[in-house]
Amino acid sequence: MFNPFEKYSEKTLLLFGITLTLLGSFIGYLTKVRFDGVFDMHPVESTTFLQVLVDNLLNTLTLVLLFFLLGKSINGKTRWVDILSVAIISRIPFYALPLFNIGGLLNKSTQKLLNGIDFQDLSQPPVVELPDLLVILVFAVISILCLIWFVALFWNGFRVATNAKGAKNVILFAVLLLLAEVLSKVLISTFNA
Amino acid sequence: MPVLLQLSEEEQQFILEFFLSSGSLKEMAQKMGNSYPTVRNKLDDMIEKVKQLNL
Repeated sequence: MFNPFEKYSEKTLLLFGITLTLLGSFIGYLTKVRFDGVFDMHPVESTTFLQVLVDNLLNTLTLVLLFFLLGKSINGKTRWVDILSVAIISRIPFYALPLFNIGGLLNKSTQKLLNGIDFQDLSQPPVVELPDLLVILVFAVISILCLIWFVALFWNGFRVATNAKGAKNVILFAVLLLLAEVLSKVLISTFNA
Repeated sequence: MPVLLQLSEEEQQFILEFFLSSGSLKEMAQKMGNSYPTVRNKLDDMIEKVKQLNL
């Protein structure tokens, strides 16, 4: 669940990962969400299957590019195919998040919550309906759990792919992950807006 | 004591498997039910250990 990379071959991981990426992109299209960053998901007014799929491809490619370079600098024997498997498999938890937007649920709850806030006079208490607040709170908790799962999978996979050890590599990994988030957002807003 | 005897039983078994697989890490990975990088890392760690023992 947290480290399939020790046991399964790259072929098995890629086959499983590509299948779930296609499925996740299709669910994203059906529920009208975009994966606009390596660890981002936002509801939108409308989208296409191709647009959601390209989001996921750009996110995966960003991770592969940055972490293959880091992997090679740590261990010259690092293979790009292992980093690709790690990037594809690690992002799978995020594909469950669009289920919160079935029937536009998340989008509607967010809009209702925002409409209940008087931005002209913030001293006024916001008008909040409990079901909307619950939807957003549950979504926030599940999102954080998915993020933790993603980071655990990605670090475990990266460690297996590169034999990385020590605090220095953990710090480099964390910094590069944040850089990947920024770079993927730039790439998606530039090439897949 | 010879370096090989200073290794654990599991490490000695790994070296024997490596020899019997004609040095094919892919074949070893299949036999052991592990991924290729897992087996390669194990070998790299053992090489480091043997180098340290030889110093």
